Amino acid sequence: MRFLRSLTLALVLSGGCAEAVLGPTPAPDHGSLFDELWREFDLHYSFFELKRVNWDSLGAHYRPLAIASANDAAFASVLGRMLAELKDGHVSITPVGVSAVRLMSRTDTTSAYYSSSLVFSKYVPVSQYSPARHLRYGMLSGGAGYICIPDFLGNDWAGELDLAIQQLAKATSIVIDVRSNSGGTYALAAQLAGRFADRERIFGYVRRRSGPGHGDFTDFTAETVAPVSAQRFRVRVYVLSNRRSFSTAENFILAMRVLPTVTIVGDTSAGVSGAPIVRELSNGWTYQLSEWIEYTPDHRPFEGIGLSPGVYVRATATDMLRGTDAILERAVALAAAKAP
Amino acid sequence: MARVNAAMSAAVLCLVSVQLACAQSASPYARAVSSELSISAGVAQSERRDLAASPLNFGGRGGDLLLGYARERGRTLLQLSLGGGLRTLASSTSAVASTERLTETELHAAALRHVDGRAGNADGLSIGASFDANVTFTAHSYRDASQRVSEFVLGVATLGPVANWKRTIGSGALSAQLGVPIAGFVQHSYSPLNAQYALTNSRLVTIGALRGSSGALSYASFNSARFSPVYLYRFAVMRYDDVQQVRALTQSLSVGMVARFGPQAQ
Repeated sequence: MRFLRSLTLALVLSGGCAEAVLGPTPAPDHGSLFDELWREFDLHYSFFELKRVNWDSLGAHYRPLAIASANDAAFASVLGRMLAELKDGHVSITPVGVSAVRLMSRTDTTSAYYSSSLVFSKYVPVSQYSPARHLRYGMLSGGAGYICIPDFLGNDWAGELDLAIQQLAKATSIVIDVRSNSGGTYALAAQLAGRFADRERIFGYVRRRSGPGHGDFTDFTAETVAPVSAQRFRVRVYVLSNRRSFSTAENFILAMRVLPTVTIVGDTSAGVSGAPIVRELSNGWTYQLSEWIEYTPDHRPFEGIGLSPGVYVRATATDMLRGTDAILERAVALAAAKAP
Repeated sequence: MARVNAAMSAAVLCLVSVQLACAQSASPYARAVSSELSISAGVAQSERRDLAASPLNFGGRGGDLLLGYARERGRTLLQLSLGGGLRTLASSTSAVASTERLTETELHAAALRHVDGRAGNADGLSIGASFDANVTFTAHSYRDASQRVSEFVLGVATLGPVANWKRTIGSGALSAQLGVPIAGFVQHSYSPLNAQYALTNSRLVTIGALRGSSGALSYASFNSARFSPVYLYRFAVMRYDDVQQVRALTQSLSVGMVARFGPQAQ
């Protein structure tokens, strides 16, 4: 037992040599933290070349400002300003105890003139939620069904769409509304779109950062949509999009628009496509950044551009004042024209 | 290319060492054949910094389990062990509340030869070559608003020389072993494993990029008995230099039982 006690003591004492092996804990001063953040973006951020961002130059400009920051709030503000130069809706930094500092882009501030209240008061007066309230649906006039997906948060709820469409069995066509959808779980886009797929189809490609060079990427990896259950919905589908359809909502639009029974109606989507990863600084602040580039099936990136609809309809302030949803009305008219 | 050649040369050297050690078992010295099975469990302490996950140092404890098999024939000693453990690590910086959950598995195989010419379960020094493989999954929990968890993997397979020294103390036996990797293969996450289309970078490495050592100190209370309690201290230290470096130190203390088969040492 004396032997075991000696070993235990050795184990405890040798904990002190951990720093010799691992190196010292990174310094929490503003200069070191700035360098940490700058380097992590340098290693992982995907859009430097596509957006023609000179990251070295931005680092040289903002580093002295960061070092001169009088306190953490000022320091966070400098970091936020530097990251805003990337014009990427997936980039943000979250200082401890303070709400996230995030880019305010044109798509953040421009009104999409969309109101779900207007939709459900005027066009779908009788509606219900799916069991976990991820979807809200009902019938439109003219025999089309309407399903609103406000976001793609959470996991494994694609089956709720099956239930909603079963409830809308009498519908001659379906309108799926992802306007002002803030995105969420990537996998849900293909899972939901798969309910309408006739066969496996490529709907896009991605390339992920793979090394320290700003042009180091993996090869193109195909994104596919495939039938996900024996039950396939063969009705005509109209997907509504606008300038505030973000991220996973854009993946959904991308997946739906390759299907032959689907038409995208509305405005161009936000163009926020980067699949963010989260990281942390050594003072505990977390931040997120885009790590891939997503492409349309013809290998065109749409970051900062958005996905154009098949039928372009732009909602206006005048529409809102009149209590009219021009995009939805156009989809209803298209559905009526195609109705048997 | 030079790095690949060096790694290949090292691998060939190690394989030759193993072959030589095995060939010796058929020599006139080879008479007694004995083997032992052991199982031990205990506590392990991990300290690590994996820049793929975080710039911070993390440390913590968890359980450790090791199954071992050793076979001694003449002057040749063959070892095979399989182990694993779970550990929960916390940041060394009190201001940061993020945590890591490690799941570690390891495989060790070695062939050694007594260098002092004595056969059987005798005191003395043995040297040989070892193959070690270790896979560590790290689930890193960030303390952001959405409490996200990112997963990373580090797989390391190495070849290198190993030395074992054994000495009878009273009725028991003390054994010390030390191995140093000189070449290997590393697979390390570049981005979180649970992200879509995640990427791990693979590369052949030599001692220039992967430095470390592993060792063990064990004491079996009854050297000649069929069954004996065994007390085991192990350590492994690793420094992997890449775009995203990894530094790790793992130590464990275990208590177990060893069962021996065949003729025992005199």
